[in-house]
Parts: sequence; C-alpha cells; structure tokens
Amino acid sequence: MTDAPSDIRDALLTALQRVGKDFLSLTETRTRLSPDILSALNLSRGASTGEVADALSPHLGPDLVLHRKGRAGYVGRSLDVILTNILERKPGKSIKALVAMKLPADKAAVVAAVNEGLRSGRFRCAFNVHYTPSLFVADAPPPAEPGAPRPAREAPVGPADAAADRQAFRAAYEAVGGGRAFVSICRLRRHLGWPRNRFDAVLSRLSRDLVIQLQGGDPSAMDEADIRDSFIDDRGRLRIAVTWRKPS
Amino acid sequence: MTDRPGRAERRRILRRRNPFASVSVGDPLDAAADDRFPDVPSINEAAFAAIRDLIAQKADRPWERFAVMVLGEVGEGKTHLMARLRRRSREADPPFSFAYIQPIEDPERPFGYLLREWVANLCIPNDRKLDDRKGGSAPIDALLGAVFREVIEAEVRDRPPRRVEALIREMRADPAAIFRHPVGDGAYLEMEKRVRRRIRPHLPRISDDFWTALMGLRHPHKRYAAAAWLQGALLRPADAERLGLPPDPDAAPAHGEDAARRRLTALSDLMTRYRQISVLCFDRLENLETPEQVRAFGRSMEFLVDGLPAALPVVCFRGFQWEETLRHKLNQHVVTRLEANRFQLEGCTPEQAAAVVRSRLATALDLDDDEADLYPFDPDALRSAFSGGMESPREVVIQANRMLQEILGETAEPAGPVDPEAALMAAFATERQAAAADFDRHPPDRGRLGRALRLYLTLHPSADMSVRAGERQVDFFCDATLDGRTVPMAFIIDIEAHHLSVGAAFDRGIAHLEGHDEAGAVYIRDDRRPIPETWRATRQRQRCFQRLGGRAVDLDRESAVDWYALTRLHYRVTAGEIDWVDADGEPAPVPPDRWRAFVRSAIADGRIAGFADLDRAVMAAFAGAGEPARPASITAK
Repeated sequence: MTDAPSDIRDALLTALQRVGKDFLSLTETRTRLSPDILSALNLSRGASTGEVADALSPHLGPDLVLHRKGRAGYVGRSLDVILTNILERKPGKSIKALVAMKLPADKAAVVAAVNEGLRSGRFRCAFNVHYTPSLFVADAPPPAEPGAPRPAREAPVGPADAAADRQAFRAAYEAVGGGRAFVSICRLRRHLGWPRNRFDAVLSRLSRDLVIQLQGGDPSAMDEADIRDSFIDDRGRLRIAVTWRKPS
Repeated sequence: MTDRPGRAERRRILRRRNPFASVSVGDPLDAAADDRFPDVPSINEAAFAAIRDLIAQKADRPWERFAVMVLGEVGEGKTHLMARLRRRSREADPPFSFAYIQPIEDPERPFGYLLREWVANLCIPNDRKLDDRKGGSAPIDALLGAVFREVIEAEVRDRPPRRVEALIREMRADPAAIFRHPVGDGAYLEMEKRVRRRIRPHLPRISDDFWTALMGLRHPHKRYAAAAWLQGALLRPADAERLGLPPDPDAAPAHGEDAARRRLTALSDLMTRYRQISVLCFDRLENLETPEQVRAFGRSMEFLVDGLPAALPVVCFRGFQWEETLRHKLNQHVVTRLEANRFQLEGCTPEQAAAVVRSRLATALDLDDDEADLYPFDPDALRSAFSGGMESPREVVIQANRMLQEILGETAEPAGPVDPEAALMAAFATERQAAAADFDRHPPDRGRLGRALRLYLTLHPSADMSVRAGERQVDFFCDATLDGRTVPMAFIIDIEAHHLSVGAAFDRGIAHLEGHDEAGAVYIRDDRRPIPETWRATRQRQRCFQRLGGRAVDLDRESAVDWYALTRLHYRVTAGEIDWVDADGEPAPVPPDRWRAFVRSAIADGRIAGFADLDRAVMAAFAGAGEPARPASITAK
C-alpha cells in the first residue's frame, strides 16, 4: 500500500532528489508522481493544480511545504532551506542575483527571508571585490582570499588515509568496471560499502585533484535506487559515472 | 593590431554582445560558428593530434582498414572536435574531404543512406559564396579535376600545345581549374571520352553510367541531375536522357541498395586512385532508437571500414551509453573495429577553463590572443569557480555566463532562454535558417521527412494517432481517432522521380483505401519533384487515389524547410544539446516531455506552420470527401 502519509512524503522527496531540486511546480509534481501515489491521493493525471495542492497538503510534514507565487503553486522545502542550499552551493550571491532566480516565492518574500536569515545569524553579508554585498551561510567557511585554495567540504584526512582511500577507490573502479572507462557511481558505492559521507568525500576529493572526472550521462534508463546511489556535486548536478584520467 | 578598449568600453561591449550566451556549436559544417566558438587547442589536444595522425596515415595508405571512435558526454566537445576536423580538412597536406553524417532513419536502406550523405557532403562547396550550379569549389569537383589532369597530362605528354601547358600548370595547383574553362569547348568534350578510354581499364568496378554522371557535374545544366544520380536518387526519364543515362529499369528499394553499394564502391575506388580520402563523422548517435537502426548502422560501418578504402569513419558516442548498451547491441566485428582507435574526451582543467573564458572574451572584444585578459572577471574568483574538478567546456561557458551576469548586473544580455519553450523556439529558428541555407544542395530525403511526419502524428494536437510502421511505399499506418471515430490511415512520403516508383506509391494508397470501409490516405511529395503532366498513366492513378478519398500534399519550400528543421532539432534535443535554465538558475538539457509538449503546441498554434496542409488533409479524412477540413489548431488535446 502506498497511502501512508510517509509514503507520499517519501515519494515527493524522491522526486525532488531525482531532479536535483528543492522544489517542483505542482504540474511537474503531478507528472512525476507514480500512478500508485496519484491513486492514493485520488488524483488523475489531468487533475488541476488546485486539486493537487489540496490532496498533498495533509501529507507534507515538517520538511515539505506548499508555496504560492502569484497564480503558480509549488511543493518543496521551506524557503529558508532553499536559500541556504543555494548559498551553500554558490556562496557570495548578491541579493539581486538571488531575487532574479526562479524561486517559488515572490521578490518581497525572498528579501524578507534573507533579512530574517541575517537577523537570526543564519546568513551573513560581506562585500566582494566589486563592492557588491554578497551573501553567505553563516556556518560555511569564510570566503577564500584571492589565490587561496578552495576550502574542502569534507572532514580533513591525513595523507596516509587519502592515499589508502584512493587505492581502494581505484581497485573498486577496476573491479566494477572490468575494463570499461565509464564506471557507474552507484555500482562503485555498493561495491565499496562505505558510509555515504565517506564515499562522497573521497569522490569529491579525487575529482578536485583531477584524478577522476565525474560524468553526467543520461539517467533516464536508471531506476530510483541507482539515482539515489549516484552523486550530486557541489552545483547540484547529478553525476552517474566516473572516468579515471590518464596522467598528463 | 587593434586599439585595446578600456575597461568601461569593454563592459559596454560585453553588455551588448555576451560571448557566453551560446554554448553549442550546433552544426560543425557552419564555418561562421568558428568565430563564435574559438578553439582552445590544449583541450582534448591528445585526441585531436592522434586523430590527425590517423587521417594522415589513411591518406598515405588507404588500403589499411580502420575507424576512429570518440567517446564523450554531453558538452565535452564532440561536435566541436568535428568542427576542428572540418577546419583541418583544408589545411592538411594532402587535404581531405570532410563529411558530417546525420543519423540513419530508414534501416532498410543503410547503403542508400551512406551514399546520399557522403555525396551530398562532397557536393558542398568549400566557398559557399560561389554559385555551386557551375561547380568548381566542392570536393567532388576536385576529384573530377584530378581525373582530367591525369588524362590531359597523359594525352599531351610528348608534344603539349601551349594552351594545354598552361592548363596543366593551373590544374597542378588546383585540380578543379577545369571548371573555369568553357564547357562546350570541343577539346574538353573530347577529353571526357578519353577519360573513359584511359582510366576505365584501371578501375574496372566503375560503370559507364557512373562516369557519365561524374562528367555531367562539369555542365551547369546537368549538374543537379548528375549530383542526384550520384547520391542514389532515381532520375526522371527526362533528366536521365539529358545526362545521357538509360532510364532506371527497376524502382525497387532492394535494387536501390545494390545500386548504392556499387556507386559507393566506384566512388571509393576513384578517390583512392587519386589519394583523396574522406573523413566521415557520425554524430548524435543517441538518435539510433530501434534495434533495426542500430543493426543498420553496424552494417554501414562494416562496409565503410572493410569495403571503402577512401573513407575514414569517425564515430561519436556518449561514453556511458556506449559501454552500457550500444556496444552490446552491435556485431562484435564492428565493435572491435571501432574500439581499436578509441579516444575519450576530457573536461577542462582549471587552467583550460580560464583559457576558454579568455578566448571568448577576446572574440567578443575583437582582441588578439596575446592582448586578451580575463577582465571583467576576477581571476581568483574564476579559479575558485573551476577548482572543483574537470568541467566540460559547455559547463565552463555556462558558469562563466552566470558570473558575467552578476558582474554586469541586469543590463547584460540575458543568460539565454529561461524556459524550454523559448530555448526550443530559438533553436528551431536556427535550424530553420540552416535548413533553408542548405535546401538546394540536398535532394529530398524520405527518412528525415518521415521523422518529422512521425513527430507530427505521435504528437497530434487533437486526434489520437496510434502509429505503426509502414511497409514498402507506405511510411506509416495509423488508427486515427477523433471525437470517438476511428479512421485507419496510411501516410506515403514519395520523393522518387521515376514514374514506376510514383505509380507504385499511388497503387499502395489505392489498395489501402479499397481495403477498408472508411479509410484515409495521404500522399506527401516534395514539390521540387512535381509529377509531370506527361506521365499520363501515373496521373490517372493519382486521380483514382483522390477519387477514393486519398489526399495529396505538395510540400512547398517553406513547409519542407519546417519539416527538415524539426528533424534536425529532434536530433539535437535527443543528443542533449539544447539547454534551458531551470528553477535554480542551472542550465539543463531540455527533457523529452518538454520537447514533446513544444512540438505539439508549436504545430497547433502555427509557430511551426509547415504542417498546415498536412493537417487539413488529415482532418479531411475525418470529415469525409467534400466536407470542409477542420484544422488541428481549433482544438487542443
């Protein structure tokens, strides 16, 4: 059965994860929900956005909300979380750039949310070299000084650990790939069996060190579990395969 | 050396002319795009250098059999690499010809497809400003010129007349110089006869008809028919007579495939004799949708590599798709041929990413490379943006575009289309322009028209069309349902210029109409090939077809351009080349559902107007003979 509220919430979260976004329009949500979920919500593919909003609202829970922007409706994470994720992915955005993005709230609401974030200390503001006020998440590392290396997002590891991880990753790449160059990330993840954070951190580090290249590819033939076990990079893009670079 | 603009001036120029707004090369044959998409030679340098060496090796030893495979994901520069090879084709010593091959549509005719695509590319003039009715600038003209030069040199070896000496000198520098001399000159007509006598014994697989068609290229009034014959088209008897060829005895497709194989072999033999090779680039192969198309592609590859020494196929795939699926669907013989010379494209290092940004800025600001810097970008911010790993060149341009928007503020040219509809409409306009520019150089193409027809049928705005493959002359059958009424319909695209073939197509339509109580049939014809009034028997069959309720649609130039442009855009969308800007401001390839929605709505509201006549014909089948047709745009599904 799929009519438990948690199933519906999980389906929505999966839909968001699948497209790598924090919100979806109600029309897109309706399109992306499986027939089972639509049936549990008493919705058809032709349901109006108002009907979709009414049917979803009892099932959203604390981590999902309905947004309204003019006549358009969206379902997704709260505006605070959306803004935080944007600034984590792309620290230093100006308020002008933020309100110019396609967000599920009007400009006034975005400005209010940013001001609230600044008041509460969740966001902070600094000037960049062009004298433009730039926004950051308060607990993110400070902006890099010119010429400084980009701060790592994962926990620091010692050189010995890093070398061992790289060796293990390479062995997994060879074993899973069996001679192929483009090796599926989800299969690598399952082969290594590492905690998610550790796998993602090693993958990011190897990519940043230009040892491997993360590949986008076409996820349309993959199932949800494979997509979940792939990788979302710093800019929110789904990466489904890696290639090992030849030393230059 | 230009005066270097000041910083304020540079910002003003960049606001007006954003060098990062466009991310995809689109058509590698488009030389005008070279300025918009400047090269950063170090990107994929190893792959390019290795392919360049393989081309040189093929030119030296054409009998060595090999192919080249290029693997790369969306945006990693496969099409850019093709454009680079096209530029290289004229600089190389010896030069080679470059052909950009679109995906195969009709799996029943792999050799006909190869022949048409290859010869069509050989007929594209190197200088598009020249009048190509006269010839002289296309690779195929250089081939014909090489034949003439050999014969002229041999004929006058002992006592060259002064006038011929000058011609020989001219032809040594440019074999196509023969095209600049008066066509009717008796000496040259005599020379055409001697070509056969001298060269034919060395090339026994080349038929008399092939020589006749090849010689026809030098005569403006025969050139179009000669090129069409060489591309495998069946000629109208009048055109065949003008060329001096016998009428084709049989219009059957199987015969066409045999004839195509013979013409391909003849072309390759001739090119090999003169050490002229062709690099045939196969791109956008994500469009191989059915197992039959994959098999047909495999057969054409096998024949190209093993049977045509003058051809070097360069085949581009998405890497993951190749390794996960396609390589398991192809004959292992083909796979080993392709994988023997396999190159994997890579993204940009941070330094290369900065070089991409610098080169685009230099192009927009009209600066030399050594004058260009990264202003108005902050070099450190740029380095930081690209420090996360290898980025595809397309991602670099997209990221740079976003940064430039922020630097210049709202007054800059927008980052690009913000929704799929706008992105697709802009891309359609571009494809339309390209299809119109090339229209006269390509004969009608049933496969591409068929792809556009399938899109129209499967995405029909008002009727439900259950489409299935046709047979022989019929392209598609479908059960069309509107307002609860279902009509079995047949759709026939006919591009043939031979009365037997055209008559057979009407016969198939008549059989369909007579075989059902209530049926519809639509006969579609590119009106560059009208049915002559003098074909009385064929005209009679046409009247019979129309009396039974069949509809004939003549595609005029504007409509045909729409159809070809839609097909070209379909290939690009399937290859992930058309981006839009999503809710997070992130560019993403237009997904298939948005593409389908666009096609449906653009045909319904007339933004793609080339289907209006067809739509009237379809609706007339529902309305019944004599009743007014209801255009699809009246109702939305």
